[in-house]
Amino acid sequence: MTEEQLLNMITELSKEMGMDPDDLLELYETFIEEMTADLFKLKIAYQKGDFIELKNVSHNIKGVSASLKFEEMFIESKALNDKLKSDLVDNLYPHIDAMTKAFSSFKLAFTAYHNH
Amino acid sequence: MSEMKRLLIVEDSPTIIALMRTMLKEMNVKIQTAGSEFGMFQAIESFGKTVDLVIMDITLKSENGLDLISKMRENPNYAEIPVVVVSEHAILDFIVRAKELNVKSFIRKPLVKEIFIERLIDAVGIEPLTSRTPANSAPASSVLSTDDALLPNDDQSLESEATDENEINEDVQDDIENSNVDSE
Repeated sequence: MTEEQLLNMITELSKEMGMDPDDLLELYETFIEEMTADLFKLKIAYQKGDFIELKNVSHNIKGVSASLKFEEMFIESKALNDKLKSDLVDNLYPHIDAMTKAFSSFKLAFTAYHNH
Repeated sequence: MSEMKRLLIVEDSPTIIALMRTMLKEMNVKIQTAGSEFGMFQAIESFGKTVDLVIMDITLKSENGLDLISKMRENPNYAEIPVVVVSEHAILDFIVRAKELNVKSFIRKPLVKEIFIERLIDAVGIEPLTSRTPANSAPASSVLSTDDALLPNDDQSLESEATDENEINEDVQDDIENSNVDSE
C-alpha cells in the first residue's frame, strides 16, 4: 500500500464520518493492535488445523476491515472465511499470506503518514 | 439542555468499539462497553437502572448476542432496557428472533455514521452535545470496561453492504416483508 492509497482510505472514511482524518488516527492505531493479534491467531490456528478458530478470526478480520474500508484485507479475509464456511480447507494459507502482506504494507504506510 | 444518555455497547472488537465511539463523539452520551455476558451484566449493574440503551453485536466471539438479550429479558430488572442489534447479517431467523425479543432496531455492518446515529436517535433519542451541556458532564465516550474482541461481515463488496443498510430497518417486521434479508 502506498501512502497515497492509505490517504485515500482514510479520506473516504473521514468523509463518511464527517471528521478530520487526523481524528481517526487513534482508530487506526486500535485497528493495528487488533489485526496484529488476529493475524497471529490465524497463523497459530492454521498450524494447529483449528478450522473453527480460523473461521471465527477471519470473520472478525472481514468485519473490521470492511468497517475501515481496507479493501485488500476485506477481500482476502472474506475469501478465507467463505471457504471455511463451505468446509473447504485447501489453499487456505495464500489468503493468510496475502492478508499478512497487505497489513504489513498498511502499517508501513501508516507509520510514514503518522510521522508527517 | 440536552440530556445525556447512557449507552452500553456489547461488542468484542476493540476497533468496532473505537469506531462507534468516534461516531458518537459529538453526541451527548456516556458509553460503557462489554464483550461478554459477564461483562454485560457487570456493566449494567454499574450503570444501575439507568442504562438507556444496549447496542448489541449479534456475533460475539463465544456468545450469541440474541441469547444475551434473551437473558436480559428474563431478568425483571433489565427486561425493559431498549436494545438495538448490530450485525453484518440480515438473516431471517435473526430478524424474527430479534423481533420476538422486542429489539428496537437492526443496524447493519459495516456501520455508516449517519445511519448509526439515526437509529440511536430513533431508539432512545440521543442528542448532540451542545454548548449548553455542563462542562462537568461525563465525556462523550468514557469506556469503563471491556473484555475481548471478534466480529463479522459479509457480502460481495463493501459498497453493496453499505447500500443495503439503509433498507434494513425502522421496523424489523418491515425488513422481513421487504425481503431484504439473506436466505442462507
